[in-house]
Amino acid sequence: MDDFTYHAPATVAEALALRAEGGGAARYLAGGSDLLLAMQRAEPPVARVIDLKGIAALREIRVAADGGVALGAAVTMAAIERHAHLLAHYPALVAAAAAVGGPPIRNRATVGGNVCNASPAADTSPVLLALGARAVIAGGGGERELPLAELWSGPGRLTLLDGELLTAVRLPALPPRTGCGFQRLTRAAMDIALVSAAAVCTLDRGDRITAAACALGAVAPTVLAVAGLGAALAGSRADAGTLARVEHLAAAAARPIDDHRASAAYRREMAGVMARRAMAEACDRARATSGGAA
Amino acid sequence: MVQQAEQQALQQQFRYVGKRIPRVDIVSKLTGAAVFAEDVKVPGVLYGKLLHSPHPHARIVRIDTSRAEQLPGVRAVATAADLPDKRVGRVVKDEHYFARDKVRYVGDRVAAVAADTREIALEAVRRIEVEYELLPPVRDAFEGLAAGAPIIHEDLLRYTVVGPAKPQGGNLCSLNSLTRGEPEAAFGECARVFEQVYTTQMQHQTYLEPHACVAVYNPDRTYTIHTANQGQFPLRNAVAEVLGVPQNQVRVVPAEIGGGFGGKSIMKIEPAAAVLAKKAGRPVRIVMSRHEDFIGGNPRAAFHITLKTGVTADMRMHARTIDVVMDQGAHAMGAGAMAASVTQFAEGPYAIPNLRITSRLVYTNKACTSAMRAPGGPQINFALESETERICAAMGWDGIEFRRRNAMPTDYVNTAGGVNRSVFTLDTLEACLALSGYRHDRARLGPNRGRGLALGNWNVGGNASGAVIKMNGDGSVNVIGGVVDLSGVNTTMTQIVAEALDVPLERVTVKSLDTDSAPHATNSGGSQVLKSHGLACFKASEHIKAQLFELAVDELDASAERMELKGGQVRVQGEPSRAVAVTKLLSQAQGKTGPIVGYGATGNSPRMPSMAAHVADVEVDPETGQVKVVRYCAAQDVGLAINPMSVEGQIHGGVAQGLGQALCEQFTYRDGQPQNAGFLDYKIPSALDVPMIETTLVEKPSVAGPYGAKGVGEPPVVPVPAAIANAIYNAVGVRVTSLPITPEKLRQAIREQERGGGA
Amino acid sequence: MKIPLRVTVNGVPREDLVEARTSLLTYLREQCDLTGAKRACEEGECGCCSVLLDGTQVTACLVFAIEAQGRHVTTVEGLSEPQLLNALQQAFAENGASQCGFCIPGMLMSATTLLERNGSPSEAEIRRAISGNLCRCTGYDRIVAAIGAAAAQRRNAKG
Repeated sequence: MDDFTYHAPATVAEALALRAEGGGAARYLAGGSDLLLAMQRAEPPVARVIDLKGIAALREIRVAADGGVALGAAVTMAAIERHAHLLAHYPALVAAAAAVGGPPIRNRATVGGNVCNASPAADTSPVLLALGARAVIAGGGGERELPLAELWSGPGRLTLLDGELLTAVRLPALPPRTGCGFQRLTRAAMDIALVSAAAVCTLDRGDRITAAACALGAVAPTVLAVAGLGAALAGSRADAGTLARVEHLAAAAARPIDDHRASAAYRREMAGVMARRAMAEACDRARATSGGAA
Repeated sequence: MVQQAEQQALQQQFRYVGKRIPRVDIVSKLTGAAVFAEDVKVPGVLYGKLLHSPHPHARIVRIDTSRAEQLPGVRAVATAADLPDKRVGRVVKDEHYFARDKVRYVGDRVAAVAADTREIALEAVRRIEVEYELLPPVRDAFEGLAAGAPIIHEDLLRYTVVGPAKPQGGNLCSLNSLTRGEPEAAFGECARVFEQVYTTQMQHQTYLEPHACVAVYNPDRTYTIHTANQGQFPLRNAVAEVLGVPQNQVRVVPAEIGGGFGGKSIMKIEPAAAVLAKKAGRPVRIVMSRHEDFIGGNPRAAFHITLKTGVTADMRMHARTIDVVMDQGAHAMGAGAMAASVTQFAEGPYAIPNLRITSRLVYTNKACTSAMRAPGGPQINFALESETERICAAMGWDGIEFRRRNAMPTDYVNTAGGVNRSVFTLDTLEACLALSGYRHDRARLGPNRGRGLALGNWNVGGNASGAVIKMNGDGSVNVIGGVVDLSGVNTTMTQIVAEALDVPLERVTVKSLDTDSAPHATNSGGSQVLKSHGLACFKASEHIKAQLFELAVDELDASAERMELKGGQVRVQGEPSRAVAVTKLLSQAQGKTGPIVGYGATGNSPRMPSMAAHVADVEVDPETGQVKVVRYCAAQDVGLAINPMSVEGQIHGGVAQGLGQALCEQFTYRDGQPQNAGFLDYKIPSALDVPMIETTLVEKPSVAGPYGAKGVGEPPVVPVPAAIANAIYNAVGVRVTSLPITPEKLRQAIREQERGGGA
Repeated sequence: MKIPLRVTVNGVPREDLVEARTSLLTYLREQCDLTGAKRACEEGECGCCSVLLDGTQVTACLVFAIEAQGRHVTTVEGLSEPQLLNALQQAFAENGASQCGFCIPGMLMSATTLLERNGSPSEAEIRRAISGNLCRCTGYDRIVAAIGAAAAQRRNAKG
């Protein structure tokens, strides 16, 4: 009864070829912290697994000349936590990665897994979304890129075509005086987020916002960008009044549900609080940086 | 200072008692060598798996196991048809081990399989076809009490009752009440009367080791069961009852146990493994998954507590009524006993002249609640000690002075009519105030920070227990007991016996043996082992001494009453030169009396309160309602700490469990379906949720335990939720009256206050 | 389908046939006879099954055995000579850090990993290092103290 196969390809091309064989029954394994869990309950049972961790290219964190970063799909949370460039320039991403489970989980959980599991509560996703990250996708027809927001179609659902593979998440270089913040709310320290929020903003010399974005976790079927926030904030001073607007816009954008973890009303209120705090953190970091650091 | 001097004097009397020694099992626990139930190796063992009910309440129309039996690799399938048709239970005999007529909760046992591999066993379970006729579930206790509620046990009033439960019919499994004075009349004599409702949640023990066992059916038609249970004897008796065989035919071997907290004091998978082993003719191992352990576990019951308290102008509680409604779940189990005991300890740490305690235990279609560390204690105490502070705030009284005036004194005649000996309420309170510097910097804690105080008590009894000590030819001893080594039992017994016989620790070996080999005992639980088994070990040591002294009468030419045992010699008291080596006496014994074996036993003993006083400092995030515990201080009245390191460890762990109950743990059902049966969503405190815990031990010897010791495991969970609730009140001025105090609940209370509702 | 697996466990090279589906935890417990790593949640939530895979701490319940192909696995049994305690384990013993002991193999793996990276961990760093290991007995207090004591002892030994 146990006809289960495990593949460990060495290249992306091999992985795609394996995936193409034998129909759609195979699952990609990036870290395994979600997949092995899901496999215990999967009906019908998962018959084939393609382990991506052996593909060297997917484990790379590549820093571009402009300071932007490409995170390979199999880069672990622990690798993000320890990466000097990310610590210096994308501290909110590091904070989000550090919020994923305990140390042994972070040694396994990957960017690709976190993004492709498509949980609305995934910790790194709001930061990636707020930073304007793009998904790099390999498929039979070659490579394509799309904004991360277009990758998710619902909880646990992706817009990827059959056989396609997310190979990397590309973070744009950040303009000068740009900062990013990440906040999450939980019932206990080690918990799935009830609500999370990431915010990014760029300030001019006069402490006015020239660009801003905010993304929310666990308040909608997918991680959600707060629409219209950048336009609403442009030109505003980064002060308490502006932060109050962020709170209001985020709470209004949230589309949470009631579940055993929290009520929709509480999640909505907290989406505002988390967004405001994330934006305050982003503004503080923007002020503290002179160059392209975030 | 006086107290410290007393404590020092107390400890200097002893060589082995009162010392911080590492646990005797420590090397095996630290190297992975300890054999827990799942680690027990038995050749040819099969994988067993249970089929649980997916429905909270349903009639079983038909069970068809044929498709499972046909699966290659399946060696046995068992259902109710394989067991005698009789109900079992420790308090009310209200349960068929495998559901027969109805299923009564999600997780109820329906069938079990044994197969060659885990995967085959899982597949076989899926192939068992059960036709159910769904019945409306009783979702909570009040629904169960309501007129026209679905009835869970139609034959309740015909059930056999073997414990203190008093079934009333309907879904009311037990109604218990105790009264002192005339509370109703006394309310009229009070300056002011306060009423408040408090509610608590279902909390799971979440021992890290899930239930696991291995059962062997032997050629001589006996069963051997290796298991993780808190008591080999109660378990053996329960399994024998289910199987319908005499108790001597079931041998239960205690494995190392990975935590219990009451949750392993009930039989669980063992009868299923036994019946499968017999049918398959091969040993069967069953390990519950974490999910099964949640849905089929025996958590702490949710309480609904209505308090009415009358106070006089001179700060005294003159009258009180306590009405408790308990959401029991589908079967009575240990909760039946709890309902009765709650009425006894609900008077709390106070002496109230007019008091009535009434408890109603209600069947619902949920997991069968039972004992969890200090069963009923923290629930009741959350109400009592939250109310203490609420009353004081309303009256403008000082909470400490209020407690001093109302504290239960020692030798107090309790509501049940017994005498509470060796009760040190105020000493414990003062010790905690000193430890925490309670008043000192209370005002300087910082914004949104608050400090909360709570007293708490757990009434420790003692159950029947026997101990055997064999003295070897070289004077070393083997101590044999039937008590599971939970929370350092074997280490403590080692210290007691070493002290009693004046034998070095390394010459004392304590083992908890199987039911064929050990004298009878009851569960390791309720903090009663020290008082019961500890005393049995002490008495067995005395028995050894009596035999040695008798042997020495001729040699020393003195009467046995004048002798003492010191440093491997029997001596005449006060004349150290008149001595004979124990080894010489033991050698002589071979030609006279035969082997030297000591036996000691204790019967059941009454329950008496042990006190704890806790102070918590918290910081509240008023925007989110999140609470951070920044400091925690605990004082406890422990009699004499046989092993202070072990006692402090019990306090640390108890506090952490209490913090979970106070802030984040809640096993949740919706329409009878469990919502969070796993660690992903049932949050117990992690290392990031608990601060360092400061402790102080109040050591005033008890009249009841060996060397003045008291049971210590339960008291430290009792005051925690109230201490936290009081600290939150002092931080942000709102009082949450339902547990757990989740961020959402607290945020809502704060929002109501912001809108002008107030506390 | 059984697959040949070559792996070094606690310094001993092994060759076994494993089912592809088998977790590293099941392999260690049932094929290697190493039951120190504990099965407690099989969700990666409790940390009781923590082992080191090429020196990196993982929860063995969420790793396929065949992922260990050609690699080194260290379990609690591999931390010290049989029946003896290493300095960290000794600190656990002296500080009363183990009660029921079921979480302790995982705790030791977290502590070992921490102390290799950080010789002077703060209380907060220790707590973070063991945040993936649940314990229900100790309230973590003595575990935190033991890890701190082991670090101090190591510094003194070097100093």
